[in-house]
Amino acid sequence: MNQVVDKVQHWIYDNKVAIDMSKQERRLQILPTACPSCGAQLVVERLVCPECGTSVQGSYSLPVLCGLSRSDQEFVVEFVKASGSLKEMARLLGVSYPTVRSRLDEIIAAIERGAAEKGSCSD
Amino acid sequence: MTEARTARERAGRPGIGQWLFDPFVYVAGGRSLIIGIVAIVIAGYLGSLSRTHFDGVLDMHTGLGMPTWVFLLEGIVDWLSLGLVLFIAGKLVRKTSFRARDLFGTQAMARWPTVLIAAVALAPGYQRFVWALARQLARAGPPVALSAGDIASFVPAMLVIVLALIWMVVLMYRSYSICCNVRGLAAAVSFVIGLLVAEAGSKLAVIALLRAA
Repeated sequence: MNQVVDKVQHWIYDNKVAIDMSKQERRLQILPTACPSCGAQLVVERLVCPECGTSVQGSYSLPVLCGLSRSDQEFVVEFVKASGSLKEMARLLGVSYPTVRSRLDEIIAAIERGAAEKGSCSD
Repeated sequence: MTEARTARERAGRPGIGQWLFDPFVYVAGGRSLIIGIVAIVIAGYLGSLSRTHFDGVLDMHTGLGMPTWVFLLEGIVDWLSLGLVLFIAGKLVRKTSFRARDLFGTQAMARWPTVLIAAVALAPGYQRFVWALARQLARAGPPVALSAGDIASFVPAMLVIVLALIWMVVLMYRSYSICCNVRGLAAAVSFVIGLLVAEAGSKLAVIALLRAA
């Protein structure tokens, strides 16, 4: 009886690990920018060439824009593509001008916060 | 074109709740100004028919009949009073710039529940009830007999009017919050102070207008 319970427990454990691994693999697609434990800004420790496998190790800070959320980063890309026109952005997103303006102000504030944090870290 | 559609799809389609209480996320500037001015004019015209005065930013009174232009100007005075006060409040509270036409346009559009108020006030039962009430308060002549139908018409009309006024205040706040990008306590406090100042200012302006008429 105990053997059966052990087998079942092992099976559950193995499957759970497999599920966790697949989740981890999926998460690798999104660049994490904040520490899941303390919330501090993460740094890049290792860079790998996908062609030859050469790796470079060190401590590199992420660009300020990487500190933004994914949707904010997408907004910045669209904004640059729209030549920095808020009117064009409003048309693209189907929202009003002040809504886009507010969103941009929030992103500016987030960038300024990120830059300030970076500054205080380097000090 | 495809890019625009994709971006729109990501932003999500507005629901009926958003159109009713948060339309300024989608409409502002010149479009809202046109819609708002049309609404003010319609409300003024219907008000002249139902003798409904919007004699203050938050006021609605059914009373004396006056020339149509008085009813139209009342709406314009209310709109400009609040728009101007909130524009100054926004400049004081907000650090970055915002467009005056967005604030004035959306504030005009926020007054569109007044169309509903002026239309509801056309109900004959409501008119008879208000007329009887005014005569009784002024002690002018013998009291007017009211039917059960008049009372039954007055109560739901008042309910609609009160709800429409609350709705209008919600729209005014959303307009201020979105156009000036102010939120939280600063937005609420500056809006309430602005509303009170605009109410006092518009009241004085409307009194001057009524005297001139």
